[in-house]
Amino acid sequence: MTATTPTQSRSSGAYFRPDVATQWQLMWRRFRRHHMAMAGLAILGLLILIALFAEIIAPYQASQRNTRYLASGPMAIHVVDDQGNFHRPFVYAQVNKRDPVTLRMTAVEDRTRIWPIAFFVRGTPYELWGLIPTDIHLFGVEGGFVHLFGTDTLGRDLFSRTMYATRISLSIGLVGVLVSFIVGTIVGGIAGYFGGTVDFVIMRIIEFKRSIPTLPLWLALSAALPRDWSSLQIYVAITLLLALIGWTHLARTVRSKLLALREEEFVIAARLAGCSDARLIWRHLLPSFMSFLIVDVTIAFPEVLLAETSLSFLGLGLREPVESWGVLLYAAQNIRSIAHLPWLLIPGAFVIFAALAFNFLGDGLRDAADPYTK
Amino acid sequence: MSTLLSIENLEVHFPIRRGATFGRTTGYVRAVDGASLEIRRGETLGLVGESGSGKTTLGRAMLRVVEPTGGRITLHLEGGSNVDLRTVDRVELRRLWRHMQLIFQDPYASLNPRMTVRDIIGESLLVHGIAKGAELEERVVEVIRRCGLDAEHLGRYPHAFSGGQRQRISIARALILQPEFIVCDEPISALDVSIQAQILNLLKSLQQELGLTYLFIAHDLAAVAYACDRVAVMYLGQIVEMAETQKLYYTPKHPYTEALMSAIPVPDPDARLKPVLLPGERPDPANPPPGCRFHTRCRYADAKCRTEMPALAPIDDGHLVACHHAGSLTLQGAREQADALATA
Repeated sequence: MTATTPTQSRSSGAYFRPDVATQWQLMWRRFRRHHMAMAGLAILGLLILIALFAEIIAPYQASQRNTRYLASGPMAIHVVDDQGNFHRPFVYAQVNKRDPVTLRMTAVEDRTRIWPIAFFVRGTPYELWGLIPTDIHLFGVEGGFVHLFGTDTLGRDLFSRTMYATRISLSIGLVGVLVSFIVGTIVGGIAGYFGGTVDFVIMRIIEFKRSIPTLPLWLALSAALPRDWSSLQIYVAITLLLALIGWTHLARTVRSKLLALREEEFVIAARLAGCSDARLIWRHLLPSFMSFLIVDVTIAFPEVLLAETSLSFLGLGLREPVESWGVLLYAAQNIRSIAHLPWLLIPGAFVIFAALAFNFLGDGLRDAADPYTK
Repeated sequence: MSTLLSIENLEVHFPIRRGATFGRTTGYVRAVDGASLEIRRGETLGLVGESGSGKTTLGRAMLRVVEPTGGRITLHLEGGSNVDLRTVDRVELRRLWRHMQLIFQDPYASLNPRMTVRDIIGESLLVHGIAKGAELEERVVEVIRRCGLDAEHLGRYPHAFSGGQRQRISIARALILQPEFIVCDEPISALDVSIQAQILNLLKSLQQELGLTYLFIAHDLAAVAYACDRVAVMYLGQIVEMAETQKLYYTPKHPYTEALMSAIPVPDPDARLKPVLLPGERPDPANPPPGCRFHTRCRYADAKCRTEMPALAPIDDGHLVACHHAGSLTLQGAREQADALATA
């Protein structure tokens, strides 16, 4: 690229833009000042990274059992040992001992030996995204094992399972929101743009759907899914189920915005210019309220996420061997788990963080998209 | 001069619904209720009247931006073929809009804030498949220069412009398809007085260069006198008087026009205006009075006015008026008002 002076580009008639901030630039400026929203964005970024690279970040496979460390708690990371010597981060070695009272085999720290944590170690082989065969993991210990969040009664690493569950839970949210976004925009668009009888019929259908309480509806529908479906089929079905119930809110937003915008003078001008209905909607109407839609979507996201979690928690959503936050929490339902294996609740923290992050993000976006804030 | 567009008994009735969803139509707002007029090729026809008299609705119904509920609109195209504008389908209408355009009152609402000036002005060339790329750029630059803006403005967004500049963009957008007829819907009402004159002069010079025909909707009577060849006066959805500007201003034949003319402000702080004050309020267009629409506020009204609606009829050459007493009344025009002020 050669540098051109403004006069040159002016005379050449090239696309010359002086310092004009676009709508999105203005929004980004306002958004950056919203600290909670920026924090939300950072957390979401982290969660998305986890979802993308779950296999690498997780030191073990989700279903891999470690019989030497059953139902045991999170292992602490140290840098200073009992003798006061500094090391690279390490965990103490674990040995199995029989508890003298309960006579159960339990894992106990052997504070004389350490297992140093190494990065990018070779571990269990896997295929990244089902494509690239490799055995590199982000971290791990050689000659021992590391369970940052502890293990469940079968000895599966909770940290690894949470990483995999992040992928499933986020993707359900993403696909669910995407499908409801598309359906909502199209249905609401038809209702709002054409109005009249079409609008009337669509709105009555939406009202009827909204009059049914969501949770019982989800329960009924997901209970109706055949028991012999594979976990993948169930996963797809649940995603669509959540999406097909969530679109109504969005459809109403789109409709009301369209009804208001339809009479705007710049829309009439575009009609007079000869724009077709499709061009009018895509080029003039949709961009005018896209910012509102994005806000709506960020707020719809935790709803889908929580819906999936609560369904799975109740045992009607996803089922093992598919991991999701809800499936993991399903294991932490009874008082025995909470009393003896409290670390099984850790995935709940992920749910809370994700939902909060989305809400803060939506908050920040709403403020940023509102042209009347200073 | 030949007729470009004529409307006969045009009606635009908006239904009033009671109840949110299963509402019954309980009545109609008669925004335009039997208006007739003819627009001649190359002229500027003024359309005046108080707020809510239906000027804007009439202007839009003429282009079928608002759907009329009754009456006829006939477009007389170059070459003698007539088009019944009320019966054409949407595809044909879109094609006909190349001949007819609209300039809006509010230059802030009429430009899409998310599009650059280039896209706003060039859009119709694109959607009609007339030009694209470099050719489109060329034509947009040509029209924007005509309207007093510069090629360097093309990449900017509307918010970077002042009201007057925005109105120039709006005019450029209306001109790009080289229409014959432009409805100017209060194009200067939202502008500063100093800018108003600029825009008026721009419209005038464009008319001379391009042979345009305007319907000029306004309530600023001084601007209308300056800009228009003929003027139509609207009251409660009907045309009550139509004549050449001079005739209408100086020898009004309708009592409502008289009242309007007496209300023209005079740029003299010491002048004591003696406007013809109309008693009462403008009646509700959903429930217009029987007979002459104006009889509730007319000081000359008699029994006939209360029962029989006067038709718009010629009183002398090219002077149409809808009043039973048009022939017998001696009414004050703008000049008498001015003279009275001068002597006072």
